[in-house]
Amino acid sequence: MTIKFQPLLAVSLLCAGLATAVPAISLADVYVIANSSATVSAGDIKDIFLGEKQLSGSTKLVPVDNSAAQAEFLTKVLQLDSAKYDSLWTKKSFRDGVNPPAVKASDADVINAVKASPGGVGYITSAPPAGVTVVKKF
Amino acid sequence: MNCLNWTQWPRHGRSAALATLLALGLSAGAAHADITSGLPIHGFLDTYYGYTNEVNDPRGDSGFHLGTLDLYLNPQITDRVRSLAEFVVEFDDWYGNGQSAVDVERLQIGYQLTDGLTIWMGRFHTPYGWWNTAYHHGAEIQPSVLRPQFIAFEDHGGILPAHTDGLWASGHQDMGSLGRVTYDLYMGNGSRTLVDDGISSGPKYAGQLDMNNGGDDNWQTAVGFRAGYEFRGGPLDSLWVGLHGLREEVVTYDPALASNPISDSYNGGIAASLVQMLGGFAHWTPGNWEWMGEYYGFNNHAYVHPGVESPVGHTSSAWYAQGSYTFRGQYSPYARYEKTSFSQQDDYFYYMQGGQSYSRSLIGLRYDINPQTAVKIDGGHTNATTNGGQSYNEAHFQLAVRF
Repeated sequence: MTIKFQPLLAVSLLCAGLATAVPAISLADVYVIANSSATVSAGDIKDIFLGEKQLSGSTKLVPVDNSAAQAEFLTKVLQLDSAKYDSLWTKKSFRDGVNPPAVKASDADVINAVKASPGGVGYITSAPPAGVTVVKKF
Repeated sequence: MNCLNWTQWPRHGRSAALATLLALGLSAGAAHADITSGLPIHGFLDTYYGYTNEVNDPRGDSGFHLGTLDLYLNPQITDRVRSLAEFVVEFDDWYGNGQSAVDVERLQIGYQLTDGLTIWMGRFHTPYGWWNTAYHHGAEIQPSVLRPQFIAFEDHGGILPAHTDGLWASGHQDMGSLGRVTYDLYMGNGSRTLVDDGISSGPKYAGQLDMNNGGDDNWQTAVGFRAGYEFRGGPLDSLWVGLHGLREEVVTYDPALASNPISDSYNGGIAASLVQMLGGFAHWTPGNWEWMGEYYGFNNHAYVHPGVESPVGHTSSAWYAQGSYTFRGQYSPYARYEKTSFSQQDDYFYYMQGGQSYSRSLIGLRYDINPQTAVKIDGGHTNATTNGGQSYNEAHFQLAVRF
Protein backbone atom coordinates (compact mmCIF):
# COMPACT_ATOMS: atom_id res chain seq x y z
CA MET A 1 0.00 0.00 0.00
CA THR A 2 1.36 3.36 -0.90
CA ILE A 3 0.54 6.48 0.97
CA LYS A 4 0.33 9.65 -1.08
CA PHE A 5 1.60 12.82 0.41
CA GLN A 6 -1.29 15.14 1.03
CA PRO A 7 -0.20 18.66 1.96
CA LEU A 8 -3.50 19.60 3.59
CA LEU A 9 -3.45 16.52 5.76
CA ALA A 10 0.18 17.12 6.68
CA VAL A 11 -0.50 20.69 7.74
CA SER A 12 -3.52 19.59 9.74
CA LEU A 13 -1.54 16.91 11.52
CA LEU A 14 1.27 19.38 12.20
CA CYS A 15 -1.15 21.89 13.69
CA ALA A 16 -2.79 19.23 15.76
CA GLY A 17 0.57 18.08 17.00
CA LEU A 18 1.59 21.58 17.97
CA ALA A 19 -1.70 22.18 19.67
CA THR A 20 -1.38 19.09 21.78
CA ALA A 21 2.26 19.85 22.48
CA VAL A 22 1.60 23.29 23.92
CA PRO A 23 0.03 22.09 27.17
CA ALA A 24 3.00 19.79 27.62
CA ILE A 25 5.35 22.77 27.70
CA SER A 26 5.50 23.81 31.32
CA LEU A 27 7.79 26.08 33.26
CA ALA A 28 10.63 24.39 35.02
CA ASP A 29 10.63 24.04 38.78
CA VAL A 30 12.16 27.02 40.49
CA TYR A 31 14.05 26.63 43.75
CA VAL A 32 14.61 29.73 45.80
CA ILE A 33 17.77 29.18 47.80
CA ALA A 34 19.57 31.12 50.50
CA ASN A 35 22.87 31.03 52.26
CA SER A 36 22.66 28.62 55.17
CA SER A 37 23.39 31.41 57.64
CA ALA A 38 20.53 33.63 56.43
CA THR A 39 17.04 33.44 57.90
CA VAL A 40 14.61 33.82 55.03
CA SER A 41 10.98 32.73 54.86
CA ALA A 42 8.90 32.08 51.77
CA GLY A 43 6.84 35.13 52.60
CA ASP A 44 9.93 37.32 52.31
CA ILE A 45 10.86 36.31 48.77
CA LYS A 46 8.86 38.94 46.91
CA ASP A 47 9.96 41.75 49.21
CA ILE A 48 13.60 40.69 48.94
CA PHE A 49 13.62 40.67 45.15
CA LEU A 50 11.76 43.98 44.95
CA GLY A 51 14.10 45.74 47.39
CA GLU A 52 11.56 46.13 50.19
CA LYS A 53 13.38 43.78 52.57
CA GLN A 54 17.13 44.23 52.79
CA LEU A 55 17.99 42.91 56.22
CA SER A 56 17.56 39.63 58.04
CA GLY A 57 18.39 40.46 61.60
CA SER A 58 21.83 41.96 61.35
CA THR A 59 22.59 40.29 58.02
CA LYS A 60 22.44 42.28 54.81
CA LEU A 61 20.45 40.31 52.26
CA VAL A 62 22.06 40.06 48.82
CA PRO A 63 19.58 38.84 46.20
CA VAL A 64 20.98 37.70 42.87
CA ASP A 65 19.07 37.28 39.63
CA ASN A 66 19.61 34.34 37.30
CA SER A 67 19.29 35.27 33.64
CA ALA A 68 18.88 31.61 32.68
CA ALA A 69 15.87 31.18 34.96
CA GLN A 70 14.50 34.69 35.30
CA ALA A 71 11.48 34.15 33.09
CA GLU A 72 10.31 31.20 35.18
CA PHE A 73 11.03 33.03 38.42
CA LEU A 74 9.19 36.18 37.46
CA THR A 75 6.19 34.26 36.17
CA LYS A 76 5.86 31.67 38.92
CA VAL A 77 7.11 33.55 41.96
CA LEU A 78 6.65 37.28 41.48
CA GLN A 79 3.83 37.13 38.93
CA LEU A 80 5.49 39.85 36.85
CA ASP A 81 6.87 40.12 33.36
CA SER A 82 10.42 41.31 32.80
CA ALA A 83 9.37 44.78 31.63
CA LYS A 84 7.35 45.36 34.77
CA TYR A 85 10.17 43.99 36.92
CA ASP A 86 12.68 46.36 35.31
CA SER A 87 10.27 49.27 35.66
CA LEU A 88 9.73 48.58 39.35
CA TRP A 89 13.47 48.47 39.92
CA THR A 90 14.06 51.68 37.99
CA LYS A 91 11.62 53.47 40.27
CA LYS A 92 12.91 51.80 43.43
CA SER A 93 16.49 52.63 42.57
CA PHE A 94 15.68 56.24 41.68
CA ARG A 95 13.50 56.89 44.71
CA ASP A 96 15.23 54.98 47.48
CA GLY A 97 18.83 54.61 46.34
CA VAL A 98 18.68 50.81 46.32
CA ASN A 99 20.48 48.88 43.59
CA PRO A 100 18.76 46.03 41.73
CA PRO A 101 20.05 42.47 42.23
CA ALA A 102 23.20 41.54 40.39
CA VAL A 103 22.54 39.24 37.46
CA LYS A 104 24.28 35.87 37.21
CA ALA A 105 24.34 33.82 34.03
CA SER A 106 23.61 30.31 35.27
CA ASP A 107 22.51 28.13 38.16
CA ALA A 108 26.14 27.41 38.98
CA ASP A 109 26.98 31.11 39.18
CA VAL A 110 23.98 31.76 41.41
CA ILE A 111 24.88 28.89 43.72
CA ASN A 112 28.43 30.20 44.04
CA ALA A 113 27.17 33.71 44.78
CA VAL A 114 24.69 32.52 47.38
CA LYS A 115 27.33 30.42 49.11
CA ALA A 116 29.81 33.27 49.04
CA SER A 117 27.61 35.84 50.80
CA PRO A 118 26.06 35.34 54.26
CA GLY A 119 22.93 37.13 53.03
CA GLY A 120 22.89 35.53 49.60
CA VAL A 121 19.47 34.68 48.12
CA GLY A 122 18.94 33.35 44.61
CA TYR A 123 16.91 31.00 42.46
CA ILE A 124 17.82 28.04 40.28
CA THR A 125 16.05 25.44 38.17
CA SER A 126 18.37 22.53 38.87
CA ALA A 127 18.30 20.45 42.04
CA PRO A 128 19.79 22.48 44.89
CA PRO A 129 23.18 21.29 46.09
CA ALA A 130 24.21 20.74 49.67
CA GLY A 131 25.35 23.80 51.55
CA VAL A 132 22.42 26.07 50.74
CA THR A 133 18.97 26.37 52.28
CA VAL A 134 15.95 25.78 50.07
CA VAL A 135 13.50 28.53 50.97
CA LYS A 136 10.74 27.21 48.75
CA LYS A 137 10.20 25.17 45.60
CA PHE A 138 7.77 26.70 43.07
CA MET B 1 17.93 75.48 41.84
CA ASN B 2 21.18 77.31 42.33
CA CYS B 3 22.40 76.15 38.97
CA LEU B 4 26.03 76.46 38.19
CA ASN B 5 26.30 78.57 35.05
CA TRP B 6 28.16 76.48 32.52
CA THR B 7 29.85 79.42 30.86
CA GLN B 8 31.14 80.67 34.17
CA TRP B 9 33.08 77.50 34.77
CA PRO B 10 36.77 77.71 34.06
CA ARG B 11 37.68 75.87 30.89
CA HIS B 12 39.49 73.07 32.70
CA GLY B 13 36.55 72.79 35.09
CA ARG B 14 34.14 72.31 32.21
CA SER B 15 36.40 69.69 30.70
CA ALA B 16 36.63 67.84 33.97
CA ALA B 17 32.86 67.92 34.41
CA LEU B 18 32.30 66.68 30.87
CA ALA B 19 34.85 63.93 31.36
CA THR B 20 33.11 62.89 34.55
CA LEU B 21 29.69 62.84 32.90
CA LEU B 22 31.08 60.94 29.93
CA ALA B 23 32.63 58.38 32.23
CA LEU B 24 29.34 58.05 34.06
CA GLY B 25 27.51 57.68 30.77
CA LEU B 26 29.88 54.99 29.52
CA SER B 27 29.14 53.01 32.63
CA ALA B 28 25.42 53.34 32.16
CA GLY B 29 24.99 49.92 30.62
CA ALA B 30 25.91 48.30 33.90
CA ALA B 31 22.52 48.87 35.51
CA HIS B 32 22.29 45.30 36.74
CA ALA B 33 25.99 44.57 36.95
CA ASP B 34 27.43 42.66 39.83
CA ILE B 35 28.03 45.15 42.63
CA THR B 36 31.52 43.79 43.04
CA SER B 37 32.49 44.63 39.47
CA GLY B 38 31.57 48.30 39.22
CA LEU B 39 29.22 51.07 40.16
CA PRO B 40 25.76 50.91 38.57
CA ILE B 41 24.71 54.12 36.84
CA HIS B 42 21.17 54.93 35.86
CA GLY B 43 19.68 57.85 34.04
CA PHE B 44 16.93 59.66 32.16
CA LEU B 45 17.00 61.78 29.05
CA ASP B 46 14.22 63.82 27.47
CA THR B 47 13.57 66.45 24.84
CA TYR B 48 10.33 68.16 23.95
CA TYR B 49 8.57 70.71 21.77
CA GLY B 50 6.31 73.31 23.31
CA TYR B 51 3.78 75.78 22.00
CA THR B 52 1.89 78.49 23.84
CA ASN B 53 -0.16 81.49 22.80
CA GLU B 54 0.65 83.30 26.04
CA VAL B 55 1.47 86.91 25.19
CA ASN B 56 5.23 87.48 25.12
CA ASP B 57 5.78 83.87 26.21
CA PRO B 58 7.46 84.92 29.48
CA ARG B 59 8.55 81.39 30.32
CA GLY B 60 10.00 80.79 26.88
CA ASP B 61 7.76 77.78 26.40
CA SER B 62 7.45 77.82 22.60
CA GLY B 63 9.90 75.91 20.46
CA PHE B 64 12.13 72.91 20.85
CA HIS B 65 13.63 72.27 24.25
CA LEU B 66 16.44 70.14 25.49
CA GLY B 67 14.93 68.60 28.57
CA THR B 68 17.35 67.12 31.03
CA LEU B 69 20.10 64.54 31.12
CA ASP B 70 19.78 62.98 34.55
CA LEU B 71 22.45 60.60 35.86
CA TYR B 72 22.24 59.01 39.27
CA LEU B 73 24.18 56.36 41.11
CA ASN B 74 23.71 54.52 44.37
CA PRO B 75 27.06 53.56 45.86
CA GLN B 76 26.57 50.93 48.56
CA ILE B 77 29.36 51.75 50.99
CA THR B 78 28.79 49.06 53.60
CA ASP B 79 25.94 46.74 54.53
CA ARG B 80 24.23 49.61 56.34
CA VAL B 81 25.63 52.72 54.68
CA ARG B 82 24.53 53.70 51.22
CA SER B 83 24.58 56.91 49.23
CA LEU B 84 22.79 58.52 46.36
CA ALA B 85 24.23 61.09 43.98
CA GLU B 86 22.26 62.62 41.14
CA PHE B 87 23.51 65.10 38.53
CA VAL B 88 21.39 66.90 35.97
CA VAL B 89 22.47 68.75 32.85
CA GLU B 90 19.73 71.11 31.75
CA PHE B 91 19.09 74.36 29.96
CA ASP B 92 17.92 77.45 31.82
CA ASP B 93 15.07 78.24 29.49
CA TRP B 94 12.56 79.28 32.15
CA TYR B 95 13.16 82.98 32.80
CA GLY B 96 16.77 82.28 31.93
CA ASN B 97 19.11 82.84 29.04
CA GLY B 98 19.19 79.39 27.51
CA GLN B 99 22.61 78.45 28.81
CA SER B 100 23.37 74.94 29.89
CA ALA B 101 23.89 74.25 33.54
CA VAL B 102 24.89 71.36 35.75
CA ASP B 103 22.94 70.78 38.94
CA VAL B 104 23.84 68.54 41.81
CA GLU B 105 20.28 67.37 42.32
CA ARG B 106 20.84 64.99 45.20
CA LEU B 107 23.85 64.22 47.30
CA GLN B 108 22.87 62.14 50.29
CA ILE B 109 24.39 59.54 52.55
CA GLY B 110 22.18 57.21 54.52
CA TYR B 111 22.45 54.74 57.35
CA GLN B 112 19.91 51.93 57.38
CA LEU B 113 18.97 51.14 60.97
CA THR B 114 16.33 48.57 60.05
CA ASP B 115 14.25 47.62 57.04
CA GLY B 116 11.81 50.21 58.29
CA LEU B 117 14.10 53.15 59.00
CA THR B 118 16.91 54.87 57.12
CA ILE B 119 18.48 58.14 58.20
CA TRP B 120 19.77 60.33 55.37
CA MET B 121 21.92 63.45 55.48
CA GLY B 122 22.63 65.77 52.57
CA ARG B 123 20.52 67.23 49.81
CA PHE B 124 17.42 65.17 49.00
CA HIS B 125 14.08 65.43 47.25
CA THR B 126 11.76 67.01 49.80
CA PRO B 127 9.28 64.29 50.79
CA TYR B 128 5.86 65.89 50.30
CA GLY B 129 2.98 64.52 48.30
CA TRP B 130 3.45 61.86 45.68
CA TRP B 131 4.97 63.54 42.63
CA ASN B 132 8.10 65.14 44.02
CA THR B 133 9.76 61.97 45.26
CA ALA B 134 8.16 59.56 42.78
CA TYR B 135 9.18 61.21 39.51
CA HIS B 136 11.21 64.39 40.00
CA HIS B 137 13.61 64.61 37.01
CA GLY B 138 12.68 61.14 35.80
CA ALA B 139 10.79 62.27 32.71
CA GLU B 140 10.39 58.74 31.37
CA ILE B 141 8.65 57.46 34.47
CA GLN B 142 6.59 60.64 34.84
CA PRO B 143 3.13 60.05 33.37
CA SER B 144 2.78 63.51 31.76
CA VAL B 145 5.14 65.89 29.98
CA LEU B 146 5.41 68.42 32.79
CA ARG B 147 4.79 68.51 36.53
CA PRO B 148 1.81 70.34 37.96
CA GLN B 149 2.83 74.00 37.82
CA PHE B 150 2.68 74.80 41.51
CA ILE B 151 4.98 71.92 42.45
CA ALA B 152 7.42 72.72 39.65
CA PHE B 153 11.10 72.97 40.48
CA GLU B 154 12.17 76.07 42.38
CA ASP B 155 13.58 77.74 39.24
CA HIS B 156 10.47 76.89 37.22
CA GLY B 157 8.00 78.70 39.44
CA GLY B 158 7.39 76.10 42.14
CA ILE B 159 6.01 77.38 45.42
CA LEU B 160 7.63 74.77 47.66
CA PRO B 161 11.25 73.66 48.03
CA ALA B 162 11.59 70.59 45.80
CA HIS B 163 14.91 69.91 47.50
CA THR B 164 16.09 70.18 51.07
CA ASP B 165 19.58 70.22 52.50
CA GLY B 166 19.41 68.59 55.91
CA LEU B 167 18.41 65.39 57.70
CA TRP B 168 15.70 62.94 56.64
CA ALA B 169 14.35 59.88 58.42
CA SER B 170 12.39 57.63 56.07
CA GLY B 171 10.79 54.25 56.49
CA HIS B 172 7.75 52.07 56.91
CA GLN B 173 6.21 49.69 59.41
CA ASP B 174 4.50 46.57 58.10
CA MET B 175 1.00 45.96 59.40
CA GLY B 176 0.71 42.29 58.58
CA SER B 177 -0.95 41.40 55.32
CA LEU B 178 -3.14 44.49 55.37
CA GLY B 179 -0.53 47.02 54.36
CA ARG B 180 2.01 49.26 55.94
CA VAL B 181 2.44 52.64 57.57
CA THR B 182 4.95 54.90 55.84
CA TYR B 183 6.67 57.86 57.40
CA ASP B 184 9.12 60.62 56.53
CA LEU B 185 10.40 63.24 58.94
CA TYR B 186 12.88 65.86 57.85
CA MET B 187 14.60 69.07 58.86
CA GLY B 188 16.89 71.32 56.89
CA ASN B 189 17.87 74.80 55.87
CA GLY B 190 14.87 77.07 55.54
CA SER B 191 14.32 78.70 52.15
CA ARG B 192 14.57 82.34 51.07
CA THR B 193 13.42 84.35 48.07
CA LEU B 194 15.20 87.08 46.14
CA VAL B 195 13.46 90.07 44.61
CA ASP B 196 14.87 91.21 41.31
CA ASP B 197 16.69 94.50 41.38
CA GLY B 198 17.90 94.08 37.82
CA ILE B 199 21.50 94.18 38.95
CA SER B 200 22.46 92.03 41.87
CA SER B 201 20.26 89.04 41.44
CA GLY B 202 19.25 89.45 37.82
CA PRO B 203 15.95 88.51 36.25
CA LYS B 204 16.88 84.85 36.19
CA TYR B 205 16.52 84.53 39.92
CA ALA B 206 13.67 86.97 40.47
CA GLY B 207 11.19 85.56 42.91
CA GLN B 208 12.67 82.09 42.93
CA LEU B 209 12.64 80.00 46.01
CA ASP B 210 16.23 79.33 47.05
CA MET B 211 16.63 76.35 49.40
CA ASN B 212 19.89 77.64 50.85
CA ASN B 213 22.18 74.75 50.02
CA GLY B 214 25.20 76.74 51.11
CA GLY B 215 23.92 77.43 54.60
CA ASP B 216 20.80 78.85 56.19
CA ASP B 217 20.42 82.61 55.83
CA ASN B 218 18.38 83.13 58.99
CA TRP B 219 19.20 80.13 61.18
CA GLN B 220 15.59 79.08 61.04
CA THR B 221 15.30 75.38 60.32
CA ALA B 222 12.59 74.02 58.08
CA VAL B 223 10.79 70.98 59.48
CA GLY B 224 8.34 68.73 57.70
CA PHE B 225 6.70 65.34 57.63
CA ARG B 226 4.85 62.92 55.40
CA ALA B 227 2.88 60.07 56.90
CA GLY B 228 0.73 57.62 55.03
CA TYR B 229 -0.81 54.19 54.80
CA GLU B 230 -0.22 51.87 51.86
CA PHE B 231 -2.80 49.15 51.34
CA ARG B 232 -1.65 45.70 50.28
CA GLY B 233 -4.22 43.25 49.01
CA GLY B 234 -7.97 43.56 49.01
CA PRO B 235 -10.04 46.02 47.02
CA LEU B 236 -7.79 48.95 47.94
CA ASP B 237 -4.55 47.21 46.98
CA SER B 238 -1.80 49.73 46.05
CA LEU B 239 -3.66 52.75 47.45
CA TRP B 240 -1.28 55.05 49.29
CA VAL B 241 -2.91 57.88 51.16
CA GLY B 242 -1.51 60.27 53.72
CA LEU B 243 -0.82 63.68 55.15
CA HIS B 244 2.11 66.04 54.75
CA GLY B 245 3.24 69.26 56.36
CA LEU B 246 6.03 71.84 56.29
CA ARG B 247 6.94 74.74 58.55
CA GLU B 248 9.69 77.25 57.85
CA GLU B 249 10.58 80.95 58.03
CA VAL B 250 11.23 82.44 54.62
CA VAL B 251 12.93 85.82 54.24
CA THR B 252 12.60 87.84 51.05
CA TYR B 253 15.64 89.88 50.06
CA ASP B 254 15.94 92.89 47.80
CA PRO B 255 19.61 93.78 47.39
CA ALA B 256 18.65 97.18 45.95
CA LEU B 257 17.19 98.43 49.21
CA ALA B 258 19.63 99.74 51.78
CA SER B 259 17.26 99.85 54.71
CA ASN B 260 14.04 98.22 55.70
CA PRO B 261 12.09 97.63 58.88
CA ILE B 262 13.43 94.21 59.72
CA SER B 263 16.93 94.44 58.36
CA ASP B 264 18.59 94.05 61.75
CA SER B 265 17.12 90.68 62.37
CA TYR B 266 16.88 89.37 58.88
CA ASN B 267 20.16 90.47 57.37
CA GLY B 268 18.75 92.74 54.72
CA GLY B 269 15.38 91.11 54.19
CA ILE B 270 12.42 93.22 53.16
CA ALA B 271 9.85 90.71 54.34
CA ALA B 272 9.71 87.54 56.36
CA SER B 273 6.99 84.95 56.56
CA LEU B 274 6.25 82.00 58.74
CA VAL B 275 5.14 79.41 56.19
CA GLN B 276 2.89 76.67 57.53
CA MET B 277 1.67 74.05 55.06
CA LEU B 278 -0.58 71.11 55.85
CA GLY B 279 -2.17 68.89 53.26
CA GLY B 280 -2.79 65.41 51.97
CA PHE B 281 -2.10 63.15 49.03
CA ALA B 282 -3.18 59.89 47.45
CA HIS B 283 -1.92 57.57 44.73
CA TRP B 284 -3.69 54.44 43.49
CA THR B 285 -3.15 52.00 40.64
CA PRO B 286 -6.17 49.69 40.50
CA GLY B 287 -5.77 47.49 37.44
CA ASN B 288 -4.90 49.60 34.42
CA TRP B 289 -5.92 52.83 36.10
CA GLU B 290 -3.61 55.30 37.81
CA TRP B 291 -5.04 57.99 40.06
CA MET B 292 -3.18 60.63 42.01
CA GLY B 293 -3.89 63.87 43.77
CA GLU B 294 -2.28 66.27 46.20
CA TYR B 295 -3.62 69.10 48.34
CA TYR B 296 -1.64 71.86 50.03
CA GLY B 297 -3.22 74.28 52.50
CA PHE B 298 -1.29 77.29 53.79
CA ASN B 299 -1.74 79.43 56.87
CA ASN B 300 1.15 81.86 56.64
CA HIS B 301 1.96 84.73 59.01
CA ALA B 302 4.11 87.76 58.31
CA TYR B 303 6.64 89.00 60.83
CA VAL B 304 5.72 92.56 61.78
CA HIS B 305 8.85 92.97 63.89
CA PRO B 306 11.87 90.78 64.36
CA GLY B 307 10.67 87.61 65.99
CA VAL B 308 7.08 88.82 66.27
CA GLU B 309 4.49 87.17 64.09
CA SER B 310 1.43 88.96 62.90
CA PRO B 311 -1.64 87.45 64.54
CA VAL B 312 -3.38 87.62 61.18
CA GLY B 313 -2.78 84.63 59.00
CA HIS B 314 -3.14 84.44 55.25
CA THR B 315 -4.70 81.27 53.94
CA SER B 316 -3.98 79.85 50.51
CA SER B 317 -4.42 76.52 48.83
CA ALA B 318 -3.28 74.47 45.86
CA TRP B 319 -4.30 71.07 44.54
CA TYR B 320 -4.30 68.82 41.51
CA ALA B 321 -5.93 65.56 40.53
CA GLN B 322 -4.83 63.32 37.68
CA GLY B 323 -6.12 60.09 36.19
CA SER B 324 -4.97 57.82 33.40
CA TYR B 325 -5.86 54.45 31.91
CA THR B 326 -3.46 52.16 30.05
CA PHE B 327 -4.69 50.29 26.97
CA ARG B 328 -2.85 47.30 25.57
CA GLY B 329 0.04 48.03 27.88
CA GLN B 330 1.26 50.95 25.79
CA TYR B 331 -1.37 53.68 25.35
CA SER B 332 -2.13 55.82 28.38
CA PRO B 333 -4.46 58.78 27.90
CA TYR B 334 -4.46 61.08 30.89
CA ALA B 335 -6.22 64.14 32.23
CA ARG B 336 -5.29 66.55 35.01
CA TYR B 337 -6.81 69.54 36.70
CA GLU B 338 -4.80 72.01 38.79
CA LYS B 339 -6.10 74.89 40.86
CA THR B 340 -4.39 77.33 43.18
CA SER B 341 -5.67 80.19 45.26
CA PHE B 342 -2.75 82.21 46.62
CA SER B 343 -3.34 85.25 48.82
CA GLN B 344 -1.58 88.31 47.45
CA GLN B 345 -1.67 89.78 50.96
CA ASP B 346 0.81 87.06 51.85
CA ASP B 347 4.38 88.24 51.29
CA TYR B 348 5.45 84.67 50.64
CA PHE B 349 3.32 84.39 47.51
CA TYR B 350 3.37 88.09 46.61
CA TYR B 351 7.10 88.12 46.01
CA MET B 352 7.29 84.66 44.50
CA GLN B 353 7.66 84.03 40.79
CA GLY B 354 4.98 81.35 40.77
CA GLY B 355 2.83 82.94 43.44
CA GLN B 356 -0.08 83.89 41.18
CA SER B 357 -3.33 81.97 41.37
CA TYR B 358 -4.34 79.93 38.35
CA SER B 359 -6.39 76.99 37.18
CA ARG B 360 -5.35 74.57 34.46
CA SER B 361 -7.06 71.76 32.57
CA LEU B 362 -4.85 69.31 30.73
CA ILE B 363 -5.36 66.23 28.58
CA GLY B 364 -2.70 64.09 26.97
CA LEU B 365 -1.60 60.72 25.66
CA ARG B 366 1.44 58.69 26.60
CA TYR B 367 2.66 55.96 24.27
CA ASP B 368 5.32 53.54 25.47
CA ILE B 369 7.29 52.55 22.39
CA ASN B 370 9.15 50.05 24.52
CA PRO B 371 9.74 49.72 28.27
CA GLN B 372 12.53 52.31 28.13
CA THR B 373 11.07 54.86 25.70
CA ALA B 374 7.95 56.97 25.96
CA VAL B 375 6.33 59.56 23.71
CA LYS B 376 3.91 62.01 25.29
CA ILE B 377 1.70 64.68 23.81
CA ASP B 378 -0.60 66.95 25.74
CA GLY B 379 -2.55 70.17 25.52
CA GLY B 380 -3.97 72.41 28.20
CA HIS B 381 -5.71 75.63 29.01
CA THR B 382 -4.55 77.89 31.83
CA ASN B 383 -6.50 80.71 33.39
CA ALA B 384 -4.33 83.00 35.51
CA THR B 385 -6.44 86.14 35.25
CA THR B 386 -7.28 86.43 38.96
CA ASN B 387 -4.36 88.73 39.67
CA GLY B 388 -3.94 90.31 36.28
CA GLY B 389 -2.31 87.35 34.60
CA GLN B 390 -3.23 85.75 31.31
CA SER B 391 -5.48 83.10 29.95
CA TYR B 392 -3.67 80.94 27.43
CA ASN B 393 -3.39 77.56 25.73
CA GLU B 394 -0.31 75.39 25.44
CA ALA B 395 0.76 72.06 23.96
CA HIS B 396 3.78 69.82 24.38
CA PHE B 397 5.32 66.85 22.61
CA GLN B 398 7.99 64.93 24.49
CA LEU B 399 10.35 62.05 23.83
CA ALA B 400 11.79 60.47 26.99
CA VAL B 401 14.07 57.50 27.63
CA ARG B 402 15.59 55.80 30.64
CA PHE B 403 18.70 53.68 30.81
